[in-house]
Amino acid sequence: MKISARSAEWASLTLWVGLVGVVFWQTNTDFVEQGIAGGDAFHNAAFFPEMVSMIILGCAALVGIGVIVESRKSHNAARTLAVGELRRPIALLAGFGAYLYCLSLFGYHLSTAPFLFFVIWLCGERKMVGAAVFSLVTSMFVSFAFERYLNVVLPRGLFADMLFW
Amino acid sequence: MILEPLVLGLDLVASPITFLLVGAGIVFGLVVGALPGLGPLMGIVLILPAAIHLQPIGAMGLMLGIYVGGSCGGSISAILLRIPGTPLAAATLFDGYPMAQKGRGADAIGLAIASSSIGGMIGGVILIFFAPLLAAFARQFSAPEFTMLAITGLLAIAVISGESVLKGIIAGSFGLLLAMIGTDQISMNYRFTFDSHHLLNGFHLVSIVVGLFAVSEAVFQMVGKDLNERPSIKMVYVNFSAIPLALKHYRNLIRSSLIGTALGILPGTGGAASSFTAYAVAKSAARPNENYGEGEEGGVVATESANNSTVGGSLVPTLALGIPGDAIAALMMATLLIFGMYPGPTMFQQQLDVVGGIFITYFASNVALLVIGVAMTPLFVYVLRIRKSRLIPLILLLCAIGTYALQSSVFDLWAMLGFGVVGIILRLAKYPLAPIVIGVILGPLLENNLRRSLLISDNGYWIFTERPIAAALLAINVLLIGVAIWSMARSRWRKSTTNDSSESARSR
Repeated sequence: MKISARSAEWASLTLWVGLVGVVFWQTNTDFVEQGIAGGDAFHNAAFFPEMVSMIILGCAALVGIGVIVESRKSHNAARTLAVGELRRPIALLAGFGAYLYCLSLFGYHLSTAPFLFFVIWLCGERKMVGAAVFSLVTSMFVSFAFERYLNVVLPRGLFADMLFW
Repeated sequence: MILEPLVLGLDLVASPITFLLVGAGIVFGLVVGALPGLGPLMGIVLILPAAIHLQPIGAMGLMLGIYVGGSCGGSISAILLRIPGTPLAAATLFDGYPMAQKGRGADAIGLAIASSSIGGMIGGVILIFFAPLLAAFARQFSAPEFTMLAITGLLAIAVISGESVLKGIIAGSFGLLLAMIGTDQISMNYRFTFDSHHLLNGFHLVSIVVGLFAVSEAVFQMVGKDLNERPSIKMVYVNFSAIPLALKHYRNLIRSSLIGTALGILPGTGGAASSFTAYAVAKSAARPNENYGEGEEGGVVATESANNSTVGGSLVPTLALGIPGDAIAALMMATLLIFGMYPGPTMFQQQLDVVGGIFITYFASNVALLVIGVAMTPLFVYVLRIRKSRLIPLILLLCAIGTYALQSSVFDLWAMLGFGVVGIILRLAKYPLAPIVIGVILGPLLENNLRRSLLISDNGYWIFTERPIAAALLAINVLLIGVAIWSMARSRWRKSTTNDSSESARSR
């Protein structure tokens, strides 16, 4: 199975149509309730969002027509990626999402080194000791830089009090 | 008038920390510039969450250092690996790589650094002279002029930045919509907040930028196959004899720097366009014994002086008008906004010391580029050996912690991830991302001034034609749209003739 750049075109067009839909939904409901959807251009808070949304819709329609015309002219997609090639990027995205979730749950110190190790493993590194050392050292170095020099309090998580450092 | 900002700025800059930050910026900029796939924009994106915790001039010095260093750093991998570290260095490999093949890699890198530094300083001189004049002229501007100027800035970036003008306009408009989330500055009511207190001030610019650029780039890097390989590169040592070597080509140096600065002043054109233009001009002016494309020193001098002088040029509209010259200048402008400073004519009246401080740190960064670039070349060559399997996790870590450090908010992290996904989809569909950033930054300026203009004119759009400066800017905008339509029609015509000729070749 392959995924083509055309799929991304349709996904982006769907995004624009959805976005315009949300804008008009809000301007016709929430804005009206707040009493900011009418009057002259200065007082009408819906004026500019609606104008910009119409520009997006118009341009997206033209882009969509172009995509349809292109797909009828050439049956081969310009660029394809096999699903196999997407496994690593998707795993990275999922791993990153899991890391962000773990940051608030377990805190920086317990989440970061495992995440770094996971990404290095995903990239194909199989020297586990080297990867583990790099992950630990990098995690500690970044925490030192942010907490000591920039006075940033990193996520502590639920188990921060149990950590001895 | 010229010296006043410099004298006032000396007070702000006169601290060892500022110069240390400039130096750190140059080192970091050269590193991210040398590594293919990163570049000065990514460098600034990664450092931005940390920079806003510093003093304003220190932060600007750090970011200018990254901008200047990153604009030069791409030449190192272009010369040694034939892979430009950034699009800015794409033209450098025409002559830089052949020079390295002939055993003159050290000369090529030395020339690149020296030309970048000198070109940047020429751009800086024009910045110091021209920006105050432009700011003084812009004091006549009011709401209609600022409206048209914001549209010009957006259109210019949208028209020039990507393959498709329509996609550039959509991207810029998307940025405008993002800027509307939160409190409407005129009615003071909430828009598009969906009753969430997280969105009362909209999405933080840093989460938008980090997500769109850095997260999406890290994911794209994962598609590559050789993530664990180290390129084998011979170590290179440069010395200061590169300076007289560059000065030998002084005509080329000055001409290319002026081209780069002029193109940098125009919103939308970046270092890549400057370097190719300067190379083309240098090649056409070459003497019979100069063989451009086969390791000619002048080729490296032209491209590198042009792409670095563009930095100075891009700061002119950014500081004087509050219209960013490119995406990187937009981020620097955003940093100033976060610090409560408003680039534009007002800044030249009320915060002239900050303007002077920026001028001085810009010059300092070009001097630092020369010294650090030459002395630490082996470090930057060594950096090219870093495996992507180490780089990608580091980038993601900096993204996450840097974004969290803004407001200690987990919501910002999820917003960053969401924009990362949006960035991936848009890049796959070949949308340019830079117009989104410009739209977010120019959105409030454009909307507020448009609504004020319509209030002044009692909802009449003729106000934009009645005032001469606004009318001139409107004409430029119409011209830009005309150029966009013409280039779209031309590329469609070319595509259809290419398809017709390949179909007729197949049928034979």
